[in-house]
Amino acid sequence: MLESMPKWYLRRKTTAYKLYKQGRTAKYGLDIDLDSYDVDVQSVGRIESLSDLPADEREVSHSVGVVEDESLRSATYFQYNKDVVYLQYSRFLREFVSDKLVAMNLIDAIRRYSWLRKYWFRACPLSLDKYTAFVGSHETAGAFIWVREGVKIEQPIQACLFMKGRKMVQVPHNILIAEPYSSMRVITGCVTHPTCVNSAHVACTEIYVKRGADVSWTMIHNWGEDLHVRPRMGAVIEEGGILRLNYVLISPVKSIQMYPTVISVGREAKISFRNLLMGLGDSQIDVGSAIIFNGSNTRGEITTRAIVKDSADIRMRGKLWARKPDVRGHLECRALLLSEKARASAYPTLQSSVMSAELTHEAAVGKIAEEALFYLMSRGLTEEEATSLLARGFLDADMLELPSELTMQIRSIIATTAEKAL
Amino acid sequence: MLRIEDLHVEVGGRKILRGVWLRVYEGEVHVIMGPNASGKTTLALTVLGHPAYKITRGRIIFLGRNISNLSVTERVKLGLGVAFQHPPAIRGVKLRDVLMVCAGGKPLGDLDYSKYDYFGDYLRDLGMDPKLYLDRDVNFGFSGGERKRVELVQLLVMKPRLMIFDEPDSGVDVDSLKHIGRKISELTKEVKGATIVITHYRHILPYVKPTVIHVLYNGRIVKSGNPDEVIEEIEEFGYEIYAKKLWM
Repeated sequence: MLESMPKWYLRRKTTAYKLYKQGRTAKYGLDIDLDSYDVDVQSVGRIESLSDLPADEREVSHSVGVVEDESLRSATYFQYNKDVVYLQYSRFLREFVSDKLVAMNLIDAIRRYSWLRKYWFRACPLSLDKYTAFVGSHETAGAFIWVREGVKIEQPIQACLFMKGRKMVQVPHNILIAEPYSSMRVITGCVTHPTCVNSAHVACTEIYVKRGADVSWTMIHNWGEDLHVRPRMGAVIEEGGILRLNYVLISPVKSIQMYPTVISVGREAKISFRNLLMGLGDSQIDVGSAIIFNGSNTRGEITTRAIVKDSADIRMRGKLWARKPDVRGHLECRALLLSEKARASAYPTLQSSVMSAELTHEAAVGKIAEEALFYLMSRGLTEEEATSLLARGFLDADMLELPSELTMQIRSIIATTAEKAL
Repeated sequence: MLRIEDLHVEVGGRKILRGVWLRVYEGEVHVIMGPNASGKTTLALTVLGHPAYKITRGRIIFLGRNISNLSVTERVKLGLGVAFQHPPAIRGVKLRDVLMVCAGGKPLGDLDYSKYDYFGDYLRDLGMDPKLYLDRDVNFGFSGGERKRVELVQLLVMKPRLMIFDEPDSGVDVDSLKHIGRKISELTKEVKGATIVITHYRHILPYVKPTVIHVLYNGRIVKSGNPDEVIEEIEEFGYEIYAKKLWM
C-alpha cells in the first residue's frame, strides 16, 4: 500500500515515526504503552449496506447515533477496526450535487489530492505528543470530508468508528475541509463491540473552516470499560467562520484524555465547545477545550457539563487565550457528583494580552440541589427517579444547538443510557 | 379527609409551629391567613413531607392514615398535591417533562407527545401559549405570575384529592387572580377533594369561596371562622393587634 503513496507523505511519515519513538508523553492523563496493542486487526471486509452488519453490531452503532435510513444522512462513512468497510453518499447527493461534497478514506484522498500535504497535521501538530506522532506513523484510514465553496449540505454526514477485537488499537485520522461559505454538520460515533477488551483508540481530527463557512462536528463516544482513548483535535477557523464542536460521552471507559484546540485566524469568527460527560464506573476522564483567539472580534464559548457517579474521576479543563482586540470568551464547567466516591475538578484558564478582550468563566462542582429534588418528588417521583431526571436534564441536548431531529436523537441516546446507568 | 393534631414543627432547631389543630372535610375550601413568618409555608411543606421540617409533637392523618412518617413520594401517591410559593427553576428539565411526571408518565424517555396534547389546553385556558412554554426549562425566567399559573397547571394534571396552594395570588394581576381562584374552586369540585389556600390577601377569596378562614399567628391557629367576619376584623386591627386581642 505504501508504495503508491506520494513521496511527501512517506517522508513525513518517517518523521512521525521518529517523533513517536522519542516518546513525548502527553501533558495530562496517564501514559499508555501503545506498542502493546496491535494495529493490524482484520475487519469484516466491504459491505454493501449498513444492514449487512450482524444485528449485534448494528445495535451498538445505533447507540452512537448511526442511522441506517440513509435518506436522513448526506453521506455515511463506516470504519471497522482499521478498514473503511462502507462509504456511500445519499441518493440525493449522488444525483444532484455529486461533486460538491467529497467524503472518502483519507488514505485514498492523500493519493488523489497532492495539495493535502498543506493540511496533513497542520491544525494539529505532529510533534504535540507521542499520540499525534503515533497517528501520523500508524494511521490506517480516516474520514476525509471536503465541501466545496458555497455548498450547503443540509442533512448531516455520519461517520462511525467501530472496534471489535482484543489488544488492538484503532488509529483513524480525520480531515475536514469546509471551503468558503459552505456549511455542513458531521456526526461521528465511536463505539466498541461488547467483546472488545483491553484495547485503545488513538485518533486525530483536523478541521479547517474557511472564510464564512459554518461547520458543526458532534462526537458521541460509547466505549468499553477497559478502553484507553486518546483523541487529538485541532481546528483552524478563518474570518467569519462558525464552528461548533460537540462532545457527548455516554459510557464508562478506562481512561480518556483529550484537549481539542481551536485557533481563529480571521476576524469575527464564532466558536463553541459543548461537552456533555457521563462519568461512570472507574472512568478516568480528562477533557479540556481550548480557544486561541488570533483574530479580532471573535466570540468563543466553552461549556462543559459532567455528571459523575460510582468512583469515576472527571477533570474539566478549559482555556481561553486572547491575542487580538475585541475578543469575547466565556468558559463554563459544571459537575454534579452523584455518589460519595465520585470526584470532579475544574481547571479554567483565562489568558489575555490585549486590553479590549473580555474573558469570563464560571465553574461549579457539587451535588444536586435539594430544592429541585424535593420539587420533582412532590410531583410523584421517587428520589432515584428525580435524581435521574435532574441528571439527564443537566446534560441537556438542547445546548448542542443542532437541528431538532439530531437534538431529539441525541436527547434519547442520553436518556436511554442515563436511565440504565443511574 | 385531613386531620392535623397538635402539630409542633422545628426547622434547623427553630420552633415554627407550636400546636396546630386542623380538620378538613371533603368538599371544603380552607383559607389560612397570617402575617409573614407565622408558619403558613411551614405547615404546607410539613404536610407534604419536606425533610427539613421535623415534627417534634403531634401527627398528620390523611384519608384515615397517619402520614407523619411517610416520604413525600408516598404522600403524593396517596393524593396530596402542593402548589409552591417559590417553585425552583430547574435547568434542562422542561415544563413538558414535569407535566409528564404529574400525569404519571415517563419524562424524556417517552417521546410520544400526542397523548399529552391536553397539557396545551390547560395552558391556553390560563392564557399561556403552549408553544412558548412546554419546551422551556421549568420556571426558568418565568415571571412570578407565570410560575403561579404553571403550578396550578401541574395540579390540574395531577388531580390530587387534597390540594394546598401556597400563596397562589402573590405577584398575579387582577384578571389572572380571578381565573386562578375560579380554577381552584372548580378543581376542588371535580376531584371531589378539599383545598387549603394560603394567602396574605383577601382579593382571591370571592373566587375560591372558602368554607372557613383560619388565622395563623406565631405557630398557632388563633382564630377560625366565617370568612366575612374574620376578614373584617383583620382589616380593622391588623394581624398583630388582632392576635393580641384574641389572646387577651
